[in-house]
Amino acid sequence: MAEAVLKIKNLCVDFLDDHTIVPAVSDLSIDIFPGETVGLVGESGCGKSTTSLAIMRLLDTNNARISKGSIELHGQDLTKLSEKEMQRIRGKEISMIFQEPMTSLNPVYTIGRQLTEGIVLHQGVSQKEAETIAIDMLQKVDIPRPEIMMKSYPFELSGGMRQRVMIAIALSCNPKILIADEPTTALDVTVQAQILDLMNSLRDELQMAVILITHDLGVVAEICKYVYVMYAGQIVETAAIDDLLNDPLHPYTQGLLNSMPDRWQGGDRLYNIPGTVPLPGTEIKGCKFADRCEYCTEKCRQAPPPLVRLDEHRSVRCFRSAGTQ
Amino acid sequence: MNIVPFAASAAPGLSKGMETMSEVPILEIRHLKKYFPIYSSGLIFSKQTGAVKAVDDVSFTVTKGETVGIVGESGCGKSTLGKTIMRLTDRTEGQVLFHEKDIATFNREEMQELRKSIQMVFQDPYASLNPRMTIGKTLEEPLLVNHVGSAQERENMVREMLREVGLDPSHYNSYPHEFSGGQRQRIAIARALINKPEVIIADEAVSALDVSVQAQIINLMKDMQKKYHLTYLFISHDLSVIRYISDRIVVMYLGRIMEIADKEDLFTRTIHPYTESLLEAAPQLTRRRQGKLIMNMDIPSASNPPSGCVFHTRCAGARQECETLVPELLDIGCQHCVACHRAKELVR
Ligand SMILES: Nc1ncnc2c1ncn2[C@@H]1O[C@H](COP(=O)(O)OP(=O)(O)OP(=O)(O)O)[C@@H](O)[C@H]1O
Ligand SMILES: Nc1ncnc2c1ncn2[C@@H]1O[C@H](COP(=O)(O)OP(=O)(O)OP(=O)(O)O)[C@@H](O)[C@H]1O
Ligand code: SF4
Ligand SMILES: [Mg+2]
Ligand SMILES: [Mg+2]
Repeated sequence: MAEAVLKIKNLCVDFLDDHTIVPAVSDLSIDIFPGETVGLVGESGCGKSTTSLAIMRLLDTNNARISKGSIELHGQDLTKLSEKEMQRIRGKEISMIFQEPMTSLNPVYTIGRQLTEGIVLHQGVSQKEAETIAIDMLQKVDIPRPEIMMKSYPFELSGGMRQRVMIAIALSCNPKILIADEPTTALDVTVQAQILDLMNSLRDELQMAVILITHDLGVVAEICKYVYVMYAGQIVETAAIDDLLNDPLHPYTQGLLNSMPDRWQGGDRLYNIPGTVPLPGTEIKGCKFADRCEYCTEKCRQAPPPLVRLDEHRSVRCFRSAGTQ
Repeated sequence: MNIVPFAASAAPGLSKGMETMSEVPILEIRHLKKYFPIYSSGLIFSKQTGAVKAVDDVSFTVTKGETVGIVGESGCGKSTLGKTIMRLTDRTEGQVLFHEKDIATFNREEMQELRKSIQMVFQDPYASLNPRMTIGKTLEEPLLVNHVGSAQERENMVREMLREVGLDPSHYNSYPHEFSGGQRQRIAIARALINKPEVIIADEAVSALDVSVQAQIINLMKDMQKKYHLTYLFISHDLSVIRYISDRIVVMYLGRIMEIADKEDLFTRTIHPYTESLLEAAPQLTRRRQGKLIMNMDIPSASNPPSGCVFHTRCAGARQECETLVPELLDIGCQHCVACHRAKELVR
């Protein structure tokens, strides 16, 4: 079996809010293999973006820190690197694309300039060579007339075009890992389908590992091999996609799936999970899902359930589902 | 199957309304057009050089108490259609009949009534709520505008409405920032309902919400519909939400209607190639993406729409006549209307 390109082990991220420490991500472990797409799903505020920023070491150092754990890229722990060393990793080894391409593209520079910048920096080639690579990259992401696109500005492009340019920039230095944080959330389903197809084919072609962050289980179902479900800063279930869809184990995963209109079983209501996500920093002694869980028992309120590994690809953080209640 | 053109004056679905007395059309949209002029600025005068055809010859009927879903890609004119129906923006051509009366002819009093009767709920409740106004005042305002009740009566009505949408009446003095996205959408719904409207136009009202919160809001909207016999125009780009909530679905593309059908009919007997592509693209829990999307993704602009069938540049089955002739929206039976030259052969 291939070696994992990225091993995240027991990662904890805290925010420092007026001298109080607010844990946003706790004890998160993920292994990612080349040529695979894994999904990280969960509702708004569960810590998905915080996780991706931590991997990129892009957290705001003034109020956030990695308090525990390691992020190993080919055996090298990224949490131990200096900012200078990290700059050589970003874009070259690990790239990231964000939800809103307009905010991550610089409005005053041409697409060509934004593309070639990273190529010159990371590959040490001349501007001329960088332009050839850039045009090649735009072709890879199916942009018609790439020479003209090089001279365009971000505002001249549609949302789908911009996201493709972002992907071209992210992939221009052949990174081993691509982190895509809600890459299609603002797009039409048709454009989304096209971007997902593109991510699929580039992943296969370049043997990249892709971490897809999204709140949309439909998107995960379509392109991910494995899924990590997050709730309130923790992984609560991991599974191969088919297992997760056919037999969700954690009550939260069950609730998420049952809330989807696609899973509506008849009757005049949609299922919904009662209550709301606890705010980060809320003191919870037991299971973080306890207040919203229909199976909650006394034990669930007394101690936090551990993430129990059931087989190679399946773990669950629930006393009941792990059979330890 | 027979394909019969419907009379120019009647919109699709109207005949259905006439068959049974209980199904009274509350809204009738007839050949509605909304063009936004494009000006090029000259030295002294700016000259109109074209127009964005945001809504172009749209006709359909809405029956009291039903939910009509409106879907289509970004920019196809869904929001503009909603705003034109409410007369938030004036139509370019065509008619919107509310209780069989053209809203363009409404006088001031009738307009004020219309403003009460048709309400809109938007995607981003944060943007549509005044951050410096308490929830109580936000909900009281529409009552005040319409001179409803005394101060005490209004406060009681607001507290009652808060309870109805699942909020604690003690939130009366809270500000919008103290609420979550789902709670803010409840407030927006409460504000829309407070004047007892007949029609609610929900423009991507649940699109920004997480799936379990979305389910809560959809349930609330259905409860309110039952209780107050509301009619919904439900605009969304999410096909699974549209499929769940709608009775009938209108599929739009570049300002025009491509297909209208009863919900199950649209999904199980899809006829228009555009609807087909849209369904194909929507993410599904039950399938894995394989290979590439077939549809051409070069989306034309609404200021320069293609000739003939506006979809022909992206349609895999386009024929010669598609490039020159605008297909009529024809009823192929059971109020299933399709605007496609190939409709006849696609029906099976
Ligand atoms: N700089 C910060 N300081 C304090 N708290 C923060 C900061 N950034 C994020 N948080 C909080 O940390 C939690 C996790 O946020 P994060 O952005 O990672 O969530 P997410 O899963 O990406 O959500 P979404 O789906 O909305 O993007 C949230 O409750 C958020 O309010
Ligand atoms: N006030 C305006 N002036 C000029 N053009 C406009 C105006 N409002 C909308 N348009 C144009 O009309 C067309 C339809 O826009 P509309 O907002 O109705 O689309 P939509 O279907 O609601 O899209 P979305 O899903 O992105 O909300 C678009 O091409 C848009 O750019
Ligand atoms: S541990 Fe208990 S409260 Fe938590 S999800 Fe499982 S059954 Fe529910
Ligand atoms: Mg996020
Ligand atoms: Mg809109």
